[in-house]
Parts: sequence; structure tokens; C-alpha cells
Amino acid sequence: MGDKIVMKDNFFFGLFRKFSIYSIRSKMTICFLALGLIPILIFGLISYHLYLQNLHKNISSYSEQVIERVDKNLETYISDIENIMRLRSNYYFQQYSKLNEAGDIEGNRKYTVRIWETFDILKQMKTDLIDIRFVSSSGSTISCYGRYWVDISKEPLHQELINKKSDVVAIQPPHLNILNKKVFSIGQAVNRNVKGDTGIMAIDIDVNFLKKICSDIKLGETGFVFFEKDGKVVFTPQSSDKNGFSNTITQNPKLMDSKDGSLIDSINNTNYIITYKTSAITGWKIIGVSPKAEMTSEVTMLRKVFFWIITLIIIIILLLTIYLTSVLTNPMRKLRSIMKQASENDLSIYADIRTRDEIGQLASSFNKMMNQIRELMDKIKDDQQKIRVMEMKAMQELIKPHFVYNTLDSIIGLLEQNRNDDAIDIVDSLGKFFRTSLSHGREVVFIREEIDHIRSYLMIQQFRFSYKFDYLFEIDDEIYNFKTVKLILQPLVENSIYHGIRNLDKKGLIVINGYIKDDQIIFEISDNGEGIGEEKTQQLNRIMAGEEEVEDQNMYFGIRNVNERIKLNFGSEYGLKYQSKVSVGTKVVVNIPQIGR
Amino acid sequence: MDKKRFFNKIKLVYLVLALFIALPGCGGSTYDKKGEEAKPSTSYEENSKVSEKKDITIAMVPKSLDNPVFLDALEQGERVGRELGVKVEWLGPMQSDTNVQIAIVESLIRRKVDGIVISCIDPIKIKPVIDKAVEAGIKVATFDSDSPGSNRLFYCGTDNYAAGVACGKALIKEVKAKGKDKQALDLLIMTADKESNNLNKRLNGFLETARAGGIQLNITGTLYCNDDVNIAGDMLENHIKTGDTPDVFFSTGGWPFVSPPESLPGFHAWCKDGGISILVDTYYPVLEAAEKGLADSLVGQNFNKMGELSIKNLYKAIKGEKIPSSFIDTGLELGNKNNFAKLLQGKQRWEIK
Repeated sequence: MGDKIVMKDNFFFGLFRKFSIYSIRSKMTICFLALGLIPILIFGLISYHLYLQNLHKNISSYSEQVIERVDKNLETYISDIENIMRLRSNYYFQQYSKLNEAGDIEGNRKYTVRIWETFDILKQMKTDLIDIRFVSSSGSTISCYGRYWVDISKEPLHQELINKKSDVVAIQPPHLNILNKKVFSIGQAVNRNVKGDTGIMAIDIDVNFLKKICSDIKLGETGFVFFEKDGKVVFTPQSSDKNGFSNTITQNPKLMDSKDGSLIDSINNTNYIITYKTSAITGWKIIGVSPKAEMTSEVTMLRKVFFWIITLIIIIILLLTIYLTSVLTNPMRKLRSIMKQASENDLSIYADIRTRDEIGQLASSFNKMMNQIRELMDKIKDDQQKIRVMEMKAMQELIKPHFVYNTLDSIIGLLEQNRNDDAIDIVDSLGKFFRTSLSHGREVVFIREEIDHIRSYLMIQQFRFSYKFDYLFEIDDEIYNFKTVKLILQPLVENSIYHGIRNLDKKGLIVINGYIKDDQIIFEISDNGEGIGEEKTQQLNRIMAGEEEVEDQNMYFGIRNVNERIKLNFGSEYGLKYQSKVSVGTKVVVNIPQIGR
Repeated sequence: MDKKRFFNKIKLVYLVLALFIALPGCGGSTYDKKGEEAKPSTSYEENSKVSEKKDITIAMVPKSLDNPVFLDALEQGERVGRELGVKVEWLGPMQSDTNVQIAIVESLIRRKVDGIVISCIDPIKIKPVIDKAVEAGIKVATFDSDSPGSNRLFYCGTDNYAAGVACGKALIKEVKAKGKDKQALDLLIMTADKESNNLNKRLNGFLETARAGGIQLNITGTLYCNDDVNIAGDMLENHIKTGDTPDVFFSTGGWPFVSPPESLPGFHAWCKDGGISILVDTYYPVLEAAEKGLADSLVGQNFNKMGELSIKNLYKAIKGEKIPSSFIDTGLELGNKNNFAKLLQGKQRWEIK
């Protein structure tokens, strides 16, 4: 698994696992990016949303203001026209009217000329005025173009005004005037008589005036304003309404049902913001149409700016993250590299990280650990060297020439006595004895092998000592497959034979126990020999426990060798311990750990 | 089955049929937005489409409304029209403007009037629309200023060349009387515009007669007043005040004298200094100015007759009667210092202010 850190029960850790992000640097990069970006994105999205809401509000408000302005312009202009129409009460107009009805041709010359002059002056003052008409109830008309006759009953303004009060203004939507010019007309009733017949004063205004007040406003790039009445388009600037949407918009049920308001209508898959207001003076609905996309083009711009700011922030955060993670993880990576080198047996390595943070402390601990490892390694080397030497000495001690000659002499004796079977048994035992002694150079052997080795040794010695002693093995089966340092029992058994039983008058007995106690393997080699005095027993135990040094290195060499080899291999808590009573016997207890099974 | 039950069944059948007819129309406002593209959103209707005609309508079209010269023709035309039971209309541009005059004739064609009598500002430009009106079945005549190349029925007015000739003869008489017939004389001309056929004829008649009479005339300037009586007097007065004073002033119309004579002190002084002033037109303000010494000779037109004869003859034409001639001469009125007062007594004061 390498240096992959196993993490659990965490979303980010799960994410890391999913994407196999092993290095702390990657994790830190992702964390920093997430910590940097998530607040910015949340802030940005909330700001964007609020801005969008505000923008829509402003657009709606702006459209309403635009419509309001158009309405005001129209209202102001029509009020001016109303003022002009006060001429109908003027003396000259009244005289003209009376003389005209009376048929006084000569008498009316002055008033005719005066009216034309007045009309001319007004036209020059108000360039949008196309014509001013004064139509009597009989249809006799005087206008800027002269005098002519009309059927007044078919005049739309007359039809509207006939049943209204005299001071009410009527507006006729755009139409063609006498000279085929596009105009809209404003009219008022004049000289209503007792029968209810009435003349009219009408002022024709160039529709370009409507175009002008429509084009004075701006509703996006292609937005426009038009006028509607009773579901019909009164006027729309053709140049703006290229697609002829005005007719479609006027049929919108919401627009038809309310006087003022705004709505969003989709026409040909394009959303339009439609704001409308009914003009009090004309009764026309002033309708502003603006493509939503154009009005919200700022949002597109904002989106672009937002995108680039976020990109910039990501780059800055990424660079900062790379820098910070480098600063933070470089010591770690350096330490990791050092550790890797150390793991490849370069124990001479030293972590040169001089930070005061956890990594510095870790490096310091690592250096301490490496020192300890080096010391331990040196100690192990020393111990190994010691073990080798002691083993060699143990071997030399074991295979004493005297033992070998005597054994070989015994075999010769048996052969001379034709006790071939016995000779074979001893040779066999001797062979086993040497073979298990060598153990193919292994320091640690199975307990089974150690027991076999002792068994061979005891058989040889029993024969050599003419069966002066018996021996007994009480070994628990469960310990056979554990391991032990080799050649630890033979010196102890040898001591029992040579120092305990050899000089006995009675038959000696050596008992070898093997069992497990408190997770330790215990061997007990007991004899019924002469025993050791208490003082000496204590001295031996002190020496075995390392509490007392021997004056002569050859003193107790065999048991010291066994004891030290056990301690070197398994630890100081293991080793030998003697129990003895004079004339009763001696028991040496060996404890070793359970290893190797 | 009794009669009542039978009628109930019939009612039920009608009700079911009515529902079948009405229900498809109850689908709410399911208008097809996409189907209404590129359709003009507004259409314009003309206000005064001429309805069923009861009276004959003849429209008189002067060069401009603001020139009172034509008012005599209008009033006389109206009087005659009333006698004949004809509705006489008077339609023209406020100031002389050929394009407006053309538009007015177009509107008269649309309104299908019975007759048009027009004083042409530009005889060439107006010709197509006159011909169009004629093609539309409208009887068209000209008065005061003709469009000879058009298909109009007749021209009713002054023999403008003859008027010019009369002015030329008057000049010769004045020059000889003042002993200036041996010297070259500087001439200042005033006319309405370059196009008017009637005015050009008057000018030609004047120049040709004077030169034929041995008078050497150097034209030092021409003032175009565009038929505007309001500016003509100022133009003349300003020119005189520049010091570039002529020996002779000739005007093809009476425009400069519509202004009060007191508004022309420079010109008055020039006249007193021996300047010779000859004008066409003998209406009241012109005669009044002439009497106060602003003119030596006048050659007048008869606008009353123009109105009268135009309407009478056009009425005849509408009625299918024969027109006596394609030129109906309304005659000339000659005035000089000896008869200015007498002529003035026979005129009506213009009370237009």
C-alpha cells in the first residue's frame, strides 16, 4: 500500500480514495482550492442572483419611465394643440363662421385672409402641424390648403364629438389627410347649435411626430414603442417594428385586459419585455417592446467578467496553493525521501530539516530513531559476533576430545565383545549427536531437535557410565514445534552427570521436563545428585542474572555460555536459574520465549 | 304528437345546431403568434373620401392663398357658382409652391371633383397632373397662368403678351415724355419666378415692344418675389437703398404695392427723382400706390372676369356644352397718371387686415 494513507468515514477522504489522490500535496492543493473557490463561488452566485433581480427591477422601472416620458411628451404636445384650438372662439373665426353661413362672400374676405395668415403662422411655429381645419356643420371647410366642402357626418372626429361636451378633445388615429399625408388629428366641437349640429376644429399632426417621440427613447438596440387602441395598432414606427410584432402583441389577453402593467411575451422563440400604459388624454395604449436579451446584455457582460474573475482567482489560488503546499510539504517530501533512503538500508542518512513545526519535530525524532537503530544495529552485530564466538566455544566445549575418545573406546570395547547391536546404537547416537550439534549452522533449532540431541547424548553417556544413572524425559508435546537456541540443554545435563551423579553411591536419575508456563517455555533439568550448597546456588543465580561477575572466565563456562546465548538471543529476562539442596539434588530451570511455531 | 311537443323538438334541434356552430369559436385567444410576421402593423385610410355626389364641385387652384390678387377671382367664381348651383372650392399652397399645387390637384383627382381651374405656377411641372386629371374625367381649365402644353380645355385670363406690349408702349411714351429716349436705360425687373408662363409672356411683350420702339434697356437686376406680397415691397425698397438705382422699374405683377406706400420711402424718392415705374395689375392697393406717385403706368388684369368666365365655361364643359374658345380673354385695363383716381373710384378697397 506504500505510503497511501487509509482514511475513512469522510467525504473528502472518500473523494481522495476515489481519485487515488495519494500525496499530501495533492490533497492540500484540492483543499486549498476548495476553501478558496467555494466561498467565492457562493458569494459570486448570490451576488449574481441579486444583481439579476435588481437588473430586472431596474429594466422594468426604466421601461415604465420611458413609457411615462412618451406619455408626457404626447400629453404636453396635445395640451399645446388644445391651446391652439382656442382659436375657435377667436373673433375672426366667429365672424368668418357667421358670414360664411350667411353667404356673405365679399364681407368674409378679410376674415378668410386673416384665418389663412393665422394658420400659416401656427404652421411655421409648430412644424409638426400639417393642417388646421375649421369645418362648419354644413361641411364648408377652411384649412391651410384653402376652402372646400366635406361631408361632415363622415368625418371620424365629428362622429366622436357629436355626442360629447364642447370642451372635450377627440383624437383620430393616424390616417391620410386631404393631400395624402400621414397624420393624426385632434379635434374639438365648434359652434354647436340648438339642434345639436356642430362644426369641428381639427388639427392634423404629422405622424412623424409620433415617430419622433418614439425614437427619442431607447429600449435596447431594437426595442421600440408603439400605440394601440381597442386591439388595433394606432401607430408603430415601421423601421423599428420590422417583424410586424405590434399586431401580435396587441392580441395578448393580459395587455387587452388591463390599462397599465408589464409582461414578458415570447414571440418566435424570443422573449420580449412589454410595458404598457394607457394615455389618459388620447386613450391610446403606449406599449414599449424590448427584447429581453438586449436589456439584459449587461448580464452577459457580467457573466463574462465573472467568468474571467473566477478564472483569475483560480489561477491565483492555484499558484498560491502550489507555493504554499510546496512550502508546507517540501520538508515532508524531503523527510519521505530520507526515510525511503533509510528504508533501503542507508542507515547513515540524516534528516537536515530545521523547521520548528511538526515536520521539524518529526525529523528530529527520525534522527533520534536512526541513531538508536544504528546503535542497535551495532549492538546486534556485537551480539551476533558474541553468539558466534560463544557458539564456537559451546561447540568446542561440547565436542571435547576426551568425550569423543572415550565414546570411541566404548564402541571399540563393544565391538570386541561382539555387541554389535549396542555398538551400532552408540554409533547411531553419536552420529545424531554430532549432526544435531551442527544443525547446518543454524543458531536456532526446533525443540524437537534439541531434545533429540540430548537424548543421543544421554544414551551415549549412560552407556559410558555403565548405566550408573537413568534418565527421564517429560516433555509436553505442544512445545516440540517451538524453537530454541541450540545446545542449551546438553551442558546442563553434562553438569548433572559430572557434578551431581558421577560420585553417587546410588543410581542416579536425571529428569528433563519441558512445558509451557505463563507463555514461556520452561525446561527443568533435575538430578538426584550431590547437590550444591545454598551459598553456591545463590552465587550461581547472581552470576546467571548478571548481578555478579566471575573472577575467572573459565569459571562456570558451560552454564554461563548457555545463559548468555539465551539472553543474547531472547532478552535478559530469559536464562537459567538454579535450585539445589546438598545430598538431595539440583534443578536448573531454563525459560525461553515461545517462538518459531 | 301534439303541436306543443313538436315545437319543443324543433327548438331542441335548433339549440344543438347553434351549439355546434358556436362551440368552435369558444376556444379562447389561441392566436398564432408566428403566423403574423412581416404584416404591416398600420394601414392609413383617407379621411374625406368623396361620397355620393349631389352637387357639381369645381375647384379653383390659385398659385398661392396668401396673394390677395386672386381673391377677386375666388369671390366672383363663388358668386357665379352659387347662381349655377355649383360648389366652388378654393385650394392652393399657402405660398407659391409647385409641389404643393401638384399634390392638391392629385387630391382633387382622388376626391373626384367635377372640374378644376388652375393658375399654374410651373406650366411644365403641372402638366402631367393636369393630364392625369383630364384622363380621370375631370374637366380642367387654367386661369391667370396657363399650361399650354397640357390637355386642359381652355385658358381663361389676360393675354399676357398683350399686357406686356401695353406696358412696353407705356414705357416708350414715358421715356419720350422725359426726354430719355436717346440714352440707354438701366432696367430693374420684378417677377414671381422664372417659370410662370404668364409672367414670362408679359416680360417678353414688354421688352420686345420697348426695344422695337427704340428704347435701349440694360437689365441690371431681376427680383423674384415668389408671388409673396409680404416680401415683394421689402425686396424692392432694399434694392433701391443699395444705391444701384435703375432708370426704369418694371414689375410683371402688383406685389410690391400691396404693402402700404409709406413703407417704400426710398422707392418713392426714386420715383420723384425721375425714375420710371411701370407695373402689371390695377387692383386697389396698386392703384392707390400709383396715385401717390409710385407708378407711371399700370396695365391691369380682370380677375373678376377670370373667376366668372372660368366657372361659367367649365360648368358648360361639365354639362357637355361647347366651349367657345380654348383662350378666353378677360381684357386689359390701362392706367396712367391721368386716370389713376378715376380707376380707383371704381375699385373696392381691400379690407383684408
